[in-house]
Amino acid sequence: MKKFLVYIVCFVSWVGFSQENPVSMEVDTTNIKIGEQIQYKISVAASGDIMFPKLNLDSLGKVEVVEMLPVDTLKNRFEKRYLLTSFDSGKYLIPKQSVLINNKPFLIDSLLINVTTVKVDTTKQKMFPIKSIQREPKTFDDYKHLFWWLIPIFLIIAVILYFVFRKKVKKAAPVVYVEPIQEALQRLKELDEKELLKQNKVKIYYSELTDIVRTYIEKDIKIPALESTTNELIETINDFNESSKLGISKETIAELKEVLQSADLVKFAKSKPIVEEIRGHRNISERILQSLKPVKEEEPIKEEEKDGE
Amino acid sequence: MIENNVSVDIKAINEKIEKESAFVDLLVMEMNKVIVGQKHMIERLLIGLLGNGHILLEGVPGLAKTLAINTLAKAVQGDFSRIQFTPDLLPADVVGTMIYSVKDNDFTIKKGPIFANFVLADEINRAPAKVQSALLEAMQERQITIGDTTFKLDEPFLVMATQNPVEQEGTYPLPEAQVDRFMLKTVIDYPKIAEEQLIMRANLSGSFGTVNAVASIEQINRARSAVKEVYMDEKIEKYILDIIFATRYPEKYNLPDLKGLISFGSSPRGSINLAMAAKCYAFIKRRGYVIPEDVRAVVHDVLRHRIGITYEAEAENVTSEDIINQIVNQVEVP
Repeated sequence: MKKFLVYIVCFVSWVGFSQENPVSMEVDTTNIKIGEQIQYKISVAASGDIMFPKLNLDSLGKVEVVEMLPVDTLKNRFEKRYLLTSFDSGKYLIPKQSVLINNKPFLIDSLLINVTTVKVDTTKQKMFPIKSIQREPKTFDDYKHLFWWLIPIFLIIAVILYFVFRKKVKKAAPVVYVEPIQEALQRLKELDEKELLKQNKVKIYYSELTDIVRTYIEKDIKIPALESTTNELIETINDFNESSKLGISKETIAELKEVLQSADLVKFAKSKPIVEEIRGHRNISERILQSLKPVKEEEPIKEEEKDGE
Repeated sequence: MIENNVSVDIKAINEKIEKESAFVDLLVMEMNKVIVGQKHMIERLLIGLLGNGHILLEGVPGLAKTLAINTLAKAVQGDFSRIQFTPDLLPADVVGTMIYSVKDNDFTIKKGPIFANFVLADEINRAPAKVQSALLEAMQERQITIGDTTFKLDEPFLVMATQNPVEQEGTYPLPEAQVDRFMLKTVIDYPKIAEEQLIMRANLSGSFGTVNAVASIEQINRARSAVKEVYMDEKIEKYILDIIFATRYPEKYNLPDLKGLISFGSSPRGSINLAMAAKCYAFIKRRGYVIPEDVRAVVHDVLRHRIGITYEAEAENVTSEDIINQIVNQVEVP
């Protein structure tokens, strides 16, 4: 009976001792094929300074550590996972591992894992032709060297464009200002040289003749003559004249009216005046051009005068 | 531009126009017996009459609109009828309807007031769209169908519709497509002070003259065919087209500012009517050819209802009138 009681006490103390071990180990499998991975997990149900084992390669034999995952901190528990694998078939023992908790070592049981091989029957496998050499896909780096060639090409294009552009600017640059009266007289001379009357193109002749007169009035006297009808134009000139801006004689205005009205008849009513009449209108037009006086630009009020006011 | 190579004898045309337009001065004088001032309205009435068109008249009440068309009817011995457009008016009230006759045990046709040479559609915008459409269709087709029978309207047939610009409440504004059928839209204003003094005196003393017939319907119809013969040079045609196209594509005529102000430009009816109105104006002035002045004289009346303005234009108080002014001041006269 005494002996029986000693056994019970020993058993109870052993159970109590084993329950105090806070370190445990867990694996997802112990049987893998070559190259498959085992998840080896160590859990510590304690707090304080904990140091997990660094699985030593020498101690593992042909089992390799693929990855050691960082420690997972859970409530009142720490876990660390290791991914293990092996590329040789056989049975391997992962030895006991020691976890330090507050510098006190706690041991984990060793573990036997079984690595099996994959059977390959080459006689049953279908035959495939030999694959040709595969080219690598092109990347940016493959073309980088070409940029050194593009730089001088762009420079050459830029230089060409510069010269072309400069040439155009040069062409547009010389704008010679011709006095409206000179321009009108020049156009009148050109009209004579066209010899439209000899070709019996009276309508074109009068169109150009009135255009010369109207353009001159528009440019030099600042009256919108090209957009005005004959009556409107004469009325406007009369108004301007009355306000003594132009100083044109009434005879000149009457002559202008006669020329424009005759031109209207030619242009819009198929009238065909005799040659003497046409020449007369041409001469009157020239006289009108020379007798119309341009508007003098009003001098801007000087700053001093403004201040004086 | 398409060349018009038809040879024209301007001298002969001028002589014909001189002859055929002789009644115009008499007609104007006769109308002036009872209408003081309103020269513009009288001229436009004649243009509408000679151009086979219709006129939309806008003006406040009491500006002798009814009197003018009534006088014109009397002076040319034409029939005149007046339709007062109201919200409860029906198309049958305008064109006519079929009435059952107990005596004949059959339907007989009762012609409406539109069967006249001169029709005054007073305050056209007071009637609903169906009545407006009935009138405007008759204006366009110049025939009326009642039941199974189609009646051709007598020539000349001139409709003068009026609109009051101030009272817009409870009105049915004419849609753009309908307004386009009017050859002219004329805006009439109050008479001048001297003219109003004459009107006042004549009314008080009852000294308005009696209108006599100075022309006949046959003369008017002859004049209408003579108007078509008035010579219009290619340059004038180009000028008209430039004006019309400037209402559509102002940016092409150096008027980029107008692009945002015009929602739609004039339709081809605009160019047709502008050309016809210019010819009529030349005829009234007893000329056998059209000059740019003729186009200028009628351009506002022909185009003011054919140009649509945008909300931006309305916000800036820009009217179609202003737009036309800008266009005619920009387009070069031939």
